[in-house]
Amino acid sequence: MKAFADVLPFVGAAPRPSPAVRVAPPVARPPVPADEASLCAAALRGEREAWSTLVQRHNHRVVVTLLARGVRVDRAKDIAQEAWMRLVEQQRQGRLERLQLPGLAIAQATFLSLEAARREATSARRHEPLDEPAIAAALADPQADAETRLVTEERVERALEVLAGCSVSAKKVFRLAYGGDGLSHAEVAERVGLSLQRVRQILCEVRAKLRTALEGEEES
Amino acid sequence: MSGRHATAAELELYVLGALDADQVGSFEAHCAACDACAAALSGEASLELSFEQVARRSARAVPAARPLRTVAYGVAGVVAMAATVLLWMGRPAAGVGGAGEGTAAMSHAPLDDGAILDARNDALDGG
Repeated sequence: MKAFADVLPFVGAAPRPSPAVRVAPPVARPPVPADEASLCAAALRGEREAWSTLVQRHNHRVVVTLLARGVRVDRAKDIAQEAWMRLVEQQRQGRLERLQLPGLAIAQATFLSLEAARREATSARRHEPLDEPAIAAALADPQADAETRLVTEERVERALEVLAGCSVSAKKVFRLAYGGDGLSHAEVAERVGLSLQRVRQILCEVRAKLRTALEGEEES
Repeated sequence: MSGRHATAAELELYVLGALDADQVGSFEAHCAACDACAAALSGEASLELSFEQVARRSARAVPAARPLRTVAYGVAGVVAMAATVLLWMGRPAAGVGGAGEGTAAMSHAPLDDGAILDARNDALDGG
């Protein structure tokens, strides 16, 4: 694990730190391409800086996905780290032809979390054969747990209506932040010409409005 | 924060990746050990994924309307510009022809760029 931390030092770091707390890269290093396609191409060539930037950009999203599946935060961070390590290993062995992030890292992390749950279930069966509830809980697929919480189509429609009632700038900020391009809040702020603080304030306001629509009772 | 539960604001900021760096460690340590906060964090993370679903749907709806509107405006603009140019070019020709048969014929005939240009050149030569 220590060797991997040398290769990808951002994996264990706090999620998406603001630019103010980021450590500036040494001047001697070549500039890392900013756009996702160039970064992925560089990572596929085995460029360490590109991998580090991609991990820094997408790791938090991988951890959040695992959290949503009911994985504890400490475990989620470990699994995410393992997932990135496997991707780097696959690239080094020439087994990684395409790199689509964060989807590939999420798929890898999900696979690892399911594998861990099955291992724990097997272990529980071997050592505590009479504790049926514990076995059942360990066997419970985290994916199934997440699926039960997935919003229904009706709730999404309600949320879309709420979003339509938001201001143009709020909608733009929301779409950029959640659009799947992996933009950090600082990058969103740069694109819309607002401060980082204002972008986060807008996101919190929109989230509060959408939360009601997404968490509300299902209409019968 | 080990002695208290995570607040709603802390849960939201963590999922947003906006919790202060010096608070992240104690927040994670608490959520790793506390069932209630772990469940709350899981719910907040699940909500975050739902927002992505909403954003994707929202983004899909937007570009569908735009190209049609843009094309409509573009076509209308080109037609309006062409009509203006033709009217401007055709006006002197009608004046030169006088109030005879030529004017009547021109007003009903389809627009002919060549004829309009010829008439305009004739008018300029005559002047």
